Amino acid sequence: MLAFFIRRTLYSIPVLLVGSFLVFAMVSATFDPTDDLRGPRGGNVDAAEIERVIQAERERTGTDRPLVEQYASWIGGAVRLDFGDSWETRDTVGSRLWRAFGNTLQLIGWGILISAVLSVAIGVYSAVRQYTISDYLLTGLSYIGIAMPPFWFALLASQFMIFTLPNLLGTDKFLFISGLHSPGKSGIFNLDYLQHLVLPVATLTVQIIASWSRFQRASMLEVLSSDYVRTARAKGVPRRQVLYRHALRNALIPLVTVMAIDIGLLFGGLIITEQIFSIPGMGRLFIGSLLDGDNPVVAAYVLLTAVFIVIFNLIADFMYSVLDPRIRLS
Amino acid sequence: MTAVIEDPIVTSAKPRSQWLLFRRRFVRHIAAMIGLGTLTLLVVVCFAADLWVFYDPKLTSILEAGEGPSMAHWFGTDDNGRDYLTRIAYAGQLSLRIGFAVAFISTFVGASLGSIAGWFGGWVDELITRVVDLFLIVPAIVFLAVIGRKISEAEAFLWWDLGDEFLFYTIDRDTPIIFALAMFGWMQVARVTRAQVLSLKEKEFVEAARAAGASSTRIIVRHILPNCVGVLMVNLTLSIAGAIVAESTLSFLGLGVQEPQTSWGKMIADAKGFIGTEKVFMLYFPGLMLLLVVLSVNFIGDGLRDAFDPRSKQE
Repeated sequence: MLAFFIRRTLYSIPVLLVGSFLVFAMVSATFDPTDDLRGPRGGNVDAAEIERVIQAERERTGTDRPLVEQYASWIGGAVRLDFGDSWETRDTVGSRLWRAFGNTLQLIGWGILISAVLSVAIGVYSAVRQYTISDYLLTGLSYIGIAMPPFWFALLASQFMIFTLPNLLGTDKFLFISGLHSPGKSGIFNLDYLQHLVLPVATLTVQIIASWSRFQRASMLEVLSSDYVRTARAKGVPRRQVLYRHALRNALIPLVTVMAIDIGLLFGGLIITEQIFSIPGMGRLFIGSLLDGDNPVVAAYVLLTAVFIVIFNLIADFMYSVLDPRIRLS
Repeated sequence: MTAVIEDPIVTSAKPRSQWLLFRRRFVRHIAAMIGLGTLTLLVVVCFAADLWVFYDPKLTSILEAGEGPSMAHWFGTDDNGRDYLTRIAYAGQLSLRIGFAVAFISTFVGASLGSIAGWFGGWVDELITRVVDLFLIVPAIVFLAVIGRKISEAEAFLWWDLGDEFLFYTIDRDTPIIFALAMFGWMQVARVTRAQVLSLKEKEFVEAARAAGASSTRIIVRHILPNCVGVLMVNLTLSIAGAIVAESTLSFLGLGVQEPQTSWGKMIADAKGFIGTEKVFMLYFPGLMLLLVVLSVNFIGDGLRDAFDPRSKQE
């Protein structure tokens, strides 16, 4: 088994290398830092002067070298977590990403925790109550949750929680839609933080909870109809104990793998969530840099996302074989 | 004396083809039928917009700007006084066209690559599998955002220089978006098709065809692919939903459809500033359309899956 994981890990390295080259080439191809220097301009500017400025800009950004050479020095730095200098600010890419990482980590952490807890709870509940009204209701909600574009959900939820509901109740706003803290506040164990966190985390998780809970329901139903559960019931093990000790533990195995793979979705969802709720995390930094043409930041973000996803896929494989010894890896 | 006993089961049995059985199961799937009805209605209403709209989609009217739904304007008017229902219909043409085109292209590409990989095996399989892995290491939306900044500048994108027509296809402003979305939508289909082909090629009827001297192409086209139709159709419907949502997300971020064109995603983006004002209804309608389309398509997909493979039916 150890050999399998060593091989899988080694296999991810060429995939990441080729992938990172394509990413780098793509990012370079979609934005040329000297583009806006070439545009039409008023007045009589010396053509040679423009050429000189363009050349200086090329040297500053390193785009005067061949693509392969640029890539080689970029990836050489990247493995030491040095992603070069940002083109737009006088900062290194690493420090900008690092500052944003804290906020992103909070969103992802709460996101995973809440989606895992809620989807297991919902899945088990509707499996146990199969074909009751509450099961149908939850199933219907999950269909809507899967189909609803997260950004639309975010805007609807903002309208409802910030304006409609407080107006109806005649109270103050009890949730906020900008950033993670009110000005001058910090820390994660206070009401203010919670008030800021609810809507972004809901946006990030709504689709995931909907699909995970469906998955958990299906796998729970399959386990509940299995022979060993019937045996346990027949020999008189209390219902609650059968549910949690025998059924749930086995029904969690498929979900755990799906979870590890779907973490990738969270990284995609971050872009939308951070953009809508003005949270200065990595997703917002990515979109901002994309629009500003700050290629080093863009490339670094895409590379980091890829690395995270590869790692979580490895974890998925690992979990699968550890949790279910019947699965032999080859 | 011998009595002829008629067996009611034997005599009433007519030959039933697989296709007939499939159709019957699909038609009995209530959710799928509702989905199909809704989707057909939306498609007809949007694409027949020229026939029924009362307003010019571009006609602005400052005096009527931002009015809520009324008898004259069922969905109200936008902040430039354009009739919102008309805008929704024309935006729907674009959203739906992109969704369908992307789904067909990506399913075609995925099915081709998947069946080639599964059928030939060896280094071809190895290569295609690696390429699939490559495309899957980053969430599509991240890639699309990067490509999107080029698309949103429109004109000078890749095949743009080929002129107005490329093969049999007229190139529109939204062609680059379709290809970009298709580029990141084929991997799942390829994986599923490959797995399907791998199991099919061990079947006896394939062996028989090969023994009879059929070529690889013939076996793939005549024997393998028809048996993949179920899986492919399910994937096709689901990727319509995926593509429409992906397009709307890109347009929402400002990296997709650009003025003067509009899609449902772009309409939501344009309406996001009206949260907390009385013009907030502008946010509701395009999102509702997206939700309806995706729900219908998902239900159709469920119906197809249950109809093609009754064993897989989710309880």
